[in-house]
Amino acid sequence: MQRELGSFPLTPGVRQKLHSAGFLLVEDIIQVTPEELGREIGITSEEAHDILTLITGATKPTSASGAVPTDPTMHLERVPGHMTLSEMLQEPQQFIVTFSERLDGMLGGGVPLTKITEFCGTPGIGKTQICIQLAVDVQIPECFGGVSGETVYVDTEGTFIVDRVKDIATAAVDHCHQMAAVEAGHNPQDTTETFTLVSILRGIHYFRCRDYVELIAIIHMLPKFLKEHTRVRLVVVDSIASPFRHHFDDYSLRTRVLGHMAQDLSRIANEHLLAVVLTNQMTTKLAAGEGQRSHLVPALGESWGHVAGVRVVLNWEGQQRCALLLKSPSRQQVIVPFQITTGGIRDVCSVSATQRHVTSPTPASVSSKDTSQGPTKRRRLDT
Amino acid sequence: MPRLRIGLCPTLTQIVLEKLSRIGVHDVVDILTTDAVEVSQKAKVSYKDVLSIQRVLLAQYSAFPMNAADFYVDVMSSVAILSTGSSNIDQLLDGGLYTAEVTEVVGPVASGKTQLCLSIALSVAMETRQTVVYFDTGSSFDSGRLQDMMEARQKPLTQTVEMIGSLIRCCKVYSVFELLSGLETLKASLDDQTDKLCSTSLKLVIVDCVAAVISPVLGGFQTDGHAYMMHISRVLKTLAVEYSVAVLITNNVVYGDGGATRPAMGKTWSHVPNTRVELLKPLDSVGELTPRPQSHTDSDHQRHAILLKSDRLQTNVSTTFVISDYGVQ
Repeated sequence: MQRELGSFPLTPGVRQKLHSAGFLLVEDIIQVTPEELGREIGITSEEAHDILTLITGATKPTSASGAVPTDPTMHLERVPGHMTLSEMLQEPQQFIVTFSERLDGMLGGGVPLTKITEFCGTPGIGKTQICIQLAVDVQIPECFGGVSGETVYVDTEGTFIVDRVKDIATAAVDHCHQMAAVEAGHNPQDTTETFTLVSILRGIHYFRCRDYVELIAIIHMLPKFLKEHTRVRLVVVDSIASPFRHHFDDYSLRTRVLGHMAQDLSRIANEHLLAVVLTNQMTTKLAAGEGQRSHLVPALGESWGHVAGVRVVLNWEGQQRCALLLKSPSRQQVIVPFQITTGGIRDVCSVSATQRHVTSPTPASVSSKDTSQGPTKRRRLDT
Repeated sequence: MPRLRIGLCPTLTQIVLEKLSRIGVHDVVDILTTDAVEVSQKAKVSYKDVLSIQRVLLAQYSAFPMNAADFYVDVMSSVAILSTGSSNIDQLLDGGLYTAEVTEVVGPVASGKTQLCLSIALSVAMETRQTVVYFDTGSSFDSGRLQDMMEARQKPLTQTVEMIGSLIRCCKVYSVFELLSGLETLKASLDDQTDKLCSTSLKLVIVDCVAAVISPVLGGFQTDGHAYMMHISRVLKTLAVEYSVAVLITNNVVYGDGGATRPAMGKTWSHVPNTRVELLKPLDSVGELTPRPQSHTDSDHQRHAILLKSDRLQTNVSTTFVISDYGVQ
């Protein structure tokens, strides 16, 4: 096999030793025993064994398939994370509802699982409220069209208020019980017993972290935690910006650390089938030249902007809270109003005609099964 | 260059090999760059043997000259131009994406890079019925969006959806090693005659986005980030040229001096793509968060594309395209 040894995750020292001994391609090394390799490049047999395992493990499909040519599969299919489009389409995209129908409509059905969604906004606009709402909503049982999951809540600012969780959870439980009472279809007893305030509070795993080292540590530990808590369907980091906005002199280090974290979060979202929700602060981008105005942009810089698949900016429009979908792989840019009540995030009741025009009404990517179970019915809760 | 081993040429026996290795001659480059007299004296191998080894290896490892006329015929028969599905962008790129070339799309957040990739992937699968491999580094591959596009383009039968769906393959990769490993596996797939990928011919490889995996290993005290970046560039080029595949990659922009944007990953990377296209949102909506209630206008979905670098076309030509239900138009 012509693959170069430089493409394997080896340490620079080992790579240098291999290179100077003339081992450059996989085919050079594949026939060598660990003892020979160790002697040749001056490392212990154990280290040599590790290197060989790494390389043969990664290339095994090719060497093994020579023996079984009848195997009709493709090499590519053995790559972890490989899927064809038709395989993907068989698994409908799942969403976590926000309890605001128009916010859900904007996002195509809610906050999508397997993706990173970022909420940006100025202080007091309701970023944390949305996070708490989602932390509660992710636990809605499947019979109500929810995903029946749990939440990992990473709080970097100390803004997680349990009283608010209680308010929002109570409203959600009440709503589901009302729905169960209206729809005689399923047995209300089952869900009343399992979906309660206590069960919701139990389903939130809260991490408080104070600086970016702790945050990185938590994200590194998450895969292990998620193996033990397989029901987690939502990871909230509120906020991603605050640990990175001060005590950072080296901006290129910050970009690298953030880049690594983004890839880790992306992997977690996909491998554990969960939604990652981040909040971000706003910063002022100064006018660069004539004819440009200074304006607010999400913090953490340009390269961070690519990280989240879905990016929502929350801002005030007069007395009205509004959400602007700035970036999405599947939806167009729209603005929708929302409000925050005691019970959490809700639609604004009186909607003017022009604003109604703004929302695109067809959430086409919501699977038909999902709509028939009625997220529309579920979300209407006025206080 | 490969390591010297028995079987490379008849005179290279076990004894000769051991002698050579004792004086530090391990691979093909070593023996070809050292003087034959010196080698024979130091290693105590006969001068004639060394010469014959050198001659055989040179014949095996040197490039053959090719007549430009033959080359032209070769290129004409092997190069295909893949339509992007948008007539404006096709025009900008002189017909579309060329196989055996690396095309890069750069742009700021929400400029339509992923939309362009998804739309081109679907166009190639639907029009030419050939395989597309999509390396997704940031979970931006949206199957629902592709389905919507497919439905907007035609009222497809279930079989067609199945068929086209099986042509588009997505690999989710999160680190530079996973990307390298995926690309190498793809190459191995294409080499292997028994492989299923050979029966459905591959015409397009997309990496969206390449900066997401390279940026974290670049800079600071990490000395090998640069090596990995160049490694990826080489694999992409090899893939494009040797297997006559069109390679489409996306890249971010960074803010340079004076607030001007430039493609990420610096000057070294800028030599990698054959063609580079920059996407821009119209000026009035770049980053502006002032609420515009009547914002549902065409200009919101309109984007500019500027040709920054090309081997065969005049650069700095721009065009516009629209992101719609159909894809990129």
